[in-house]
Amino acid sequence: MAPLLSIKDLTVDYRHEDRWLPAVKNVFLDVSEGETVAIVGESGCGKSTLALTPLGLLPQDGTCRTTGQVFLNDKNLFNLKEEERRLLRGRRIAMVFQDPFSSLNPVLTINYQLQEAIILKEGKPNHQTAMDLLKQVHLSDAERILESYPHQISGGQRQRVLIAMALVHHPALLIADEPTTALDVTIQDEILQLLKELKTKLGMAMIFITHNMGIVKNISDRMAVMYAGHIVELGKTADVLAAPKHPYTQALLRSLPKLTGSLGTIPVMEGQPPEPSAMPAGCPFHPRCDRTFERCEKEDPFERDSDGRRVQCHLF
Amino acid sequence: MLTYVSKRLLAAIPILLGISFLTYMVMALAPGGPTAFMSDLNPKVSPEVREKMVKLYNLDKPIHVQYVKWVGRLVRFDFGNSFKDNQPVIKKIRERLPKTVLLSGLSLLLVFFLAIPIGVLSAVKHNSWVDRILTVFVFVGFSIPTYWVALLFMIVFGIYLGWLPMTGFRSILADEMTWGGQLMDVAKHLALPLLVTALTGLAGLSRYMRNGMLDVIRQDYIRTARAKGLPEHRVILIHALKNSLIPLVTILGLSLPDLISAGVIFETVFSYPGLGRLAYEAVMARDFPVIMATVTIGAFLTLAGNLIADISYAYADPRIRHR
Repeated sequence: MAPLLSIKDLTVDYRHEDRWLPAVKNVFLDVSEGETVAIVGESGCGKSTLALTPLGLLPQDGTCRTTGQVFLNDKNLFNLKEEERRLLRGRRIAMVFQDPFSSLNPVLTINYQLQEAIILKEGKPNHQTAMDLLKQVHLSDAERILESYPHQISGGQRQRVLIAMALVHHPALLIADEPTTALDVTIQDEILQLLKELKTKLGMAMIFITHNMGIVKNISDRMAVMYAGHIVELGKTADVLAAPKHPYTQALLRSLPKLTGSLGTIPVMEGQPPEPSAMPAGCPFHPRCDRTFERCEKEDPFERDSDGRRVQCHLF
Repeated sequence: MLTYVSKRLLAAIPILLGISFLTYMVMALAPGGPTAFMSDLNPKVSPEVREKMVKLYNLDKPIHVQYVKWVGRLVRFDFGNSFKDNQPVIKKIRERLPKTVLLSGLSLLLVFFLAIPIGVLSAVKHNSWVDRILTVFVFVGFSIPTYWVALLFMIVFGIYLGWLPMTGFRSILADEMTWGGQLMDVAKHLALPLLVTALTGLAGLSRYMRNGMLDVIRQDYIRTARAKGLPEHRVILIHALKNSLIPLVTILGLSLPDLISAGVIFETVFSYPGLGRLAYEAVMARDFPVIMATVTIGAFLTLAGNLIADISYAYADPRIRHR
């Protein structure tokens, strides 16, 4: 069966002064119906850019360009007109963003913002639909929340509203860009459980972006590790976490503090991810890699195979 | 809200007193007192008249006593009589104020109705040729002094083309016209001053609108609106515009005192019988009662503008309303 979403050789560049700097480079990724794929990586590794691409929400003002293909059910999104892409947004692909505090319009009521999405689906506002949606995301006191402005409700409530808004059309794919990062730890877990529950209930596929390995383990079927715009390792979450192959994944997992055992020094990865304006030649990770050899400095490892386990490293 | 407004109104009283006191002092320090033009060299003014004037306005008393007496009359809404022609000041103002409000109000309205679409267009088409052309236009408009544009327009439209009257508010023969003809006559007289003020006001405000809009377009909630699948015109005209109009409310309130101050220059250029020209002539003639009256009205409008801006700000932004 063809995957729901298929990203083939995607490269996204941003213009900085007179140069094009890559944010995402030669990425291959498939997401099947009903599957959850986690994307992990440090800040600035390109994971948010990758998340915005299927929705067509990258800047349209000429400061950003894409090459490659993104298929949604065999339809190449890059060949569609802007209006056709808009009709997919919210309906087929929905998104939940990182910061619930800034993602709702401060001067419009929750009801107004929710009804806007409902109108797109049903043609007219529907109070009952709004109530049901809020119930679905376990918001009690739905009447009061509908009448409120965003600043009158808590961060967790706002994120639930945003999730409800994303679910109006029962999308086939939900992209969640660090949806719990801005919230308190206790609320984080509630939102996570909610997303898991809704995903199963509605049979959605999900791309879950995070830098929290605990969340990855908890929520995803497969995981992709990103470094400097590349997917360096991809595979079943359990496999990757149990036996990471790429030196970057290994270093990443080593640097996690453990709850058991003595509190020794936490191993840290030396160095910083490369700036997009100063990408090293060859493998982007080689300056920080402890197993680097001659070939790494010359040749960017490239693995085309997109199913099963994939490691972009000259060691394999 | 009611307590807030009354508190602000009470707080305005000492400010008004301070402004008028300072003005009074500055006028007293300026060379050439109010009776200078009534000197012995002026054959029209007899020493008796001068004496009467000095007594009436307590000009022989120390300056602070004069001020207190002036305030005493002011609270009874008595602005006194003009030194120049002995007409009641209140009558002069009643004649001039509506004309200034008409011109400045229309100009403000025109500026806002044009500046908002221009700013939005400039922001949405950021860095395109539309944006560049508008930017050039705005900088030209911003850099050229009002009085110069006024003179230029008077030459072009008044003399070369002869389309529009250059000065005044009505034609000499206006009284003999029909009702519609009189209206048309006033409209023609208003056209040039309106065009000039609108053109220069437009420059700053549309720039302000553009930058506000650019800020808002980058916000997360705009991305959320797009992610919902809303059509672009809804994203811009509802989600973005509503937020970028909030700071404009403040500007609108604060431009209230400009009604008079901007008029001082171009009402004089256009010989438009408004409050600004009255103030200018009064200053030139050291006409104390008229100067004090226009300054007081100006100060009052400034404070009222501030208050209106704050109240409408709360009305426009729910985050402030609910505090």
